[in-house]
Amino acid sequence: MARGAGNNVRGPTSALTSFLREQGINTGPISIYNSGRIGSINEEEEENESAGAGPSQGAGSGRRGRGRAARATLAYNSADVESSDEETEKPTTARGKKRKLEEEKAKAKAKLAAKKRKRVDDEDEEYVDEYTAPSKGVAVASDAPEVGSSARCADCDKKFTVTRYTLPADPPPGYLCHACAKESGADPFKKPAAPRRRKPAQDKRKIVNFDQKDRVKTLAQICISILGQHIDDVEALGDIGSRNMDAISMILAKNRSLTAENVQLFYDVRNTSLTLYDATSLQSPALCTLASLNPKLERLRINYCGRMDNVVLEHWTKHLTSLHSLDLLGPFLVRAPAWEAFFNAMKDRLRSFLIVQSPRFDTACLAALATNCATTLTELRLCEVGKMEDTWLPTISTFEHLTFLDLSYPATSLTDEPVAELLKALGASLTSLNLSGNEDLTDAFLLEGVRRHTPSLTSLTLANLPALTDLCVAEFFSSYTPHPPLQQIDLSRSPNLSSKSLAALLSHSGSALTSLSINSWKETSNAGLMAIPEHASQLVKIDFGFCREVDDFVMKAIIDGCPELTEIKCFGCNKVTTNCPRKLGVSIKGVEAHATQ
Amino acid sequence: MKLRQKVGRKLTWAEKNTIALYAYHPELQTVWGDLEKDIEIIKPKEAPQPAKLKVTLLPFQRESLFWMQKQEEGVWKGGMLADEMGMGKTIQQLALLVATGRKPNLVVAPTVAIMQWKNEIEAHTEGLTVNVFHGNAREKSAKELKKFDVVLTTYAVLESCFRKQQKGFKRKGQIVTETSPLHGVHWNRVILDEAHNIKERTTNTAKGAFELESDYKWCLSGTPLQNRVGELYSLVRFLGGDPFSYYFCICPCKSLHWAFSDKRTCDDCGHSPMQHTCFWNNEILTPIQKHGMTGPGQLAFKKLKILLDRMMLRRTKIERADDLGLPPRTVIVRRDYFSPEEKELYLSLFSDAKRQFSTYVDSGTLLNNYSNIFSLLTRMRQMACHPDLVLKSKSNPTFSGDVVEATICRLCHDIAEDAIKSKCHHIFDRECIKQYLNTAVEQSPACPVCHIPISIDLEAPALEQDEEVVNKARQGILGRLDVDAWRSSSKIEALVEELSNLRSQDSTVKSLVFSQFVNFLDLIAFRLQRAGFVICRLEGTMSPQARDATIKHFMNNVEVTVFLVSLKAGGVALNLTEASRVYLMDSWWNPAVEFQAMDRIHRLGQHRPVQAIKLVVEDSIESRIVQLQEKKSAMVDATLSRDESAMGRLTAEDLGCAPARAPLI
Repeated sequence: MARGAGNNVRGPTSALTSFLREQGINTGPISIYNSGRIGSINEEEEENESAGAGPSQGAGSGRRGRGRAARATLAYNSADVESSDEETEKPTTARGKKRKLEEEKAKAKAKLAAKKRKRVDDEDEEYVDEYTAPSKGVAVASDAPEVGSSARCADCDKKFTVTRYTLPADPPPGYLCHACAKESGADPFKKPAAPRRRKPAQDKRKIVNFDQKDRVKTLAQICISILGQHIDDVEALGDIGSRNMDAISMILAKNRSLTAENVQLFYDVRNTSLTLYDATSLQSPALCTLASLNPKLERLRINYCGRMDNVVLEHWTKHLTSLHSLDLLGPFLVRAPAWEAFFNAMKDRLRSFLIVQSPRFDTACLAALATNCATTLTELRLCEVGKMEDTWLPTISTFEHLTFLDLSYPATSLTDEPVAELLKALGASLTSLNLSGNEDLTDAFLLEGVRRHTPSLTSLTLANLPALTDLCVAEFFSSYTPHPPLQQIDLSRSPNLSSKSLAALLSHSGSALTSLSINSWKETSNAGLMAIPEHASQLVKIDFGFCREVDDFVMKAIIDGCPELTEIKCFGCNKVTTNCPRKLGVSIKGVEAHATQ
Repeated sequence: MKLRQKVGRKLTWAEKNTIALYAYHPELQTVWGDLEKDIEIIKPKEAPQPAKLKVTLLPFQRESLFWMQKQEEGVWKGGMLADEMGMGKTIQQLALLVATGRKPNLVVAPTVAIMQWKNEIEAHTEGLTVNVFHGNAREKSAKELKKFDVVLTTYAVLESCFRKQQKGFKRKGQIVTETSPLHGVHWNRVILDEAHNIKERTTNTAKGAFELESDYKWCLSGTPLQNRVGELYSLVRFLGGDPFSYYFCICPCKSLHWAFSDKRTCDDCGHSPMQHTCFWNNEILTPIQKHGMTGPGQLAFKKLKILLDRMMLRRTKIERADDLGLPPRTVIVRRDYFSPEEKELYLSLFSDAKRQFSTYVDSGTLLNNYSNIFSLLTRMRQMACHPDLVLKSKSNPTFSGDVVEATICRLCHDIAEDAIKSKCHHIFDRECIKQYLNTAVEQSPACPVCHIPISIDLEAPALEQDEEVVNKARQGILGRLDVDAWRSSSKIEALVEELSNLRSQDSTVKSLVFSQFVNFLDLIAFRLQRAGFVICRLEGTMSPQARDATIKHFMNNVEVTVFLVSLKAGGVALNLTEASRVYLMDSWWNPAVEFQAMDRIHRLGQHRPVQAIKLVVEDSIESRIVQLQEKKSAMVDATLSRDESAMGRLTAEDLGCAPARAPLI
């Protein structure tokens, strides 16, 4: 310590520091301590350092820096250093905040001043002695006293040594000593923050939109969308083909502009099938008219039929004499007696009964459906039915010809054993099964029910079954042998499943698989994912969102390996970057870096 | 003393108090019995539809109209209408207003709701004159206010008027008091919409409400009780329930106020504070807090019920489902997991917090550091939403270091170049806003952010030089991020996935997204806009006009599918039935706040199936919060519903105290 006292000689920045700076490595933390050294370090030591020989300094810059700091206390009034430590460590208090604000204002001013000065510097660029020049990045006014000389503080009038961190007084004339600079709230060690700039426009022009479907619209599409806009004058148009009619219906639904007036466009006495995608604004009388104007309807599908009530269903029962398929989303106002009357009238006629969301559909309704239509019904969907419970299943198992069964998202979950019983009764003919959202279902129903009793299944949807385990799902697929491969599998949002299940699934069903969802199989390994295209080259749609191991290479393998592919969903796959490969006709959804322009 | 011999032990303080009370105020002895005997519960019958009301009342609404008219004739001269949210409390009150037809009436509502009140009055009634008592240009004289049928104001204005009258404010170094025009009018009827705003009896808002003079008083609230049974006191006190809200002394002294100006003796009788008892606390609050559902607690619950049955009308949506024709509401908890990187960050924050917490426990200073703990917890909740909320926070530099805030253009979300500011304090690139204005077809284009007609000087000097101006406009967290290298979080991606799946459906489904962290909404907005969603936002700083414009923008434009709302600003009193989904991005301690949020869409006029989806990160503090919420809901059920079984699910502790003591350990 003795050698540090009272010597004003400084060396150049050390080789290490300048090397690091060239490499773009910030020496910030060290240079803070370096500030002390200007006043305190003697030449001898500096030489040691540049030779890189000093054994005591071999331990690395961090420790060395600390040593410096300790020494620096000699040069400064020890109180100063303490106060500086305090400031960095003090948690923000209300007072601290206020102080910080002031500090920031002062800083901003200093920054501005520094900028001006720098400009002056740039203009008269002259040779500066390398040894006395302040290090780059720290702006010192051109008329500043030379570093190392001593000056009188403008504030307290004490003599002090000028360093490259010395700040000018504010208001201007003179310079401040370290203590006063601190007190004024400015941080002498602060590096001027580089103002943030926006990227050059060229970088922004990168094309990042991969969803290239419908880039150029066909003439028909354009006409239809214009039609959608002027739908209220549609009567003048005359005949439109049924496919385009459906497209118009969709556009109207998207625009929420289907009304009791323009819905007439879709009505025709000869209609055998009708689909409305958003019937929210059709009130009960309008829905009754529907039946009167389309008496020959066989299939009827209405989404969002929130205004439909008992009256409507009664009316339909009377007027739609050839109806055999009904598909409704949200008929929550229709009450139990109306359903029963409907089923009674539909005796031995109803083939397909699909509803989503009804809190009022109860056991009595189900019993009525069973007594009247058990022999004819082939498709049944009771999704989000509030009163569904295990006791319903024996009744459901009397529908012996069912091929399509959907009992997803009940208010209280179904359980293993009754479901296995149900499958035992119905399984033989089932081709499509959906039991999503029954959170109490476990491996047992899969092994005892699905594996044993469903020989002709092609589509299996078991999303949101968190109790499934990796081992058992793997076992299920590897022992599902006499069964032909499945075409559609959705086992999404079961976070326990991972690589083993995927491997077994692919080797069982890979060859025929067209649609696969393994969303949230978070632990699935990269290698497992890479195997998808090898086994399942027929894939059209895949969703591996929240499989964290998906990266650009997996994406490339899938895109290259599956020629039929049209859609990839990869939400939450944070290893996929903007560089991920793309292909015409394949829409990639969910890359977080992508923007739609 | 007889009682002491009877029970054969020393009497408790409460029992002594009760005996003393009965000795000096004999009328209190029989108050509950009298209440039960003298005042009949009004059996609601259907009142006729008022002629001046343009909307047809539903059967249960006509019942409540009858009940309210009867109630005004009764002893309370008012009451509490505590129907669940979305059952048309506003309409029912309007029916009462036009049915009786006296003036002036005062409606105090949250800031978000006053424009809605105004709109509904204009749409549904005939011949009512309305004044909005809000903003700088509000009416100054009580005389003028008297002339209106209905005066609308907010709790904040009520509070400030009251404060300026009581305590005064500083102007040029002197304290000036200003008489409050609201308190200078003798109203016919005062209506507190969302009356739980006065739940803390000691706040100025509550005091300001107590001081309003009127013939009739009404409280409207779907959630009259959120945390503690004690919160009902304020409402009872406002309604002036004698003797339930009075302080009693061991002498005949009886007062509504805790008036001890010399801090020692009562202003009225001169006895010490210890001699005074709050009847409500003594009879209801304390027994429930101390004993929960057993012994004296049960008795207190019974008393509370006697009182509420006669003061409050509450119908639930389930009871009236057939009248309302509402779709069912499903609440789904979507559970996601951290990505490995997020998990690591979270764990480091967690262990840090845990260490600090055990330090407090060891040194026995846990309760002294309650606010520190709260901020630890908040930080963990923020981390579960997005790490940047902690790492780029302005207010805790320990984590964020020195962040430089840049100015952001609100149109292109890039660092603003040549930035200019509109009158509504939103910053745009000069080029961006020029283009925006050029392509606008309307006569007076709206501000892209807050949707009120924009006013901006396109030739104004660029902002950069003038730091003061920039600081005034809120930049939000985007200004502190490197937008190009920004990474999303699991939670945001989960939301984007949900919304994208909705977008690919055949019909338009609109969604509300709630969060309590405004910065988080910034991030969500940025991510959603990048994914091509058309969104709009409701922020706490917007004026009622801007809010109204924004709400209309969302309701009337079919392409605007997402509405970002800050939980505190828009959780109450909005009617957004165009949307049928609610996403709750972060869980709040108090489930009532979330139910309020869900009920923005689950209300009259909703014809689509309603889903509320709570996004929860499973391996974080949030799953604990969800557990806590379930307990609280049980308490509310226990008090307000007729279902006795809900009581059993609670412990005494649940009833007494608000947030979790130590959710960390």
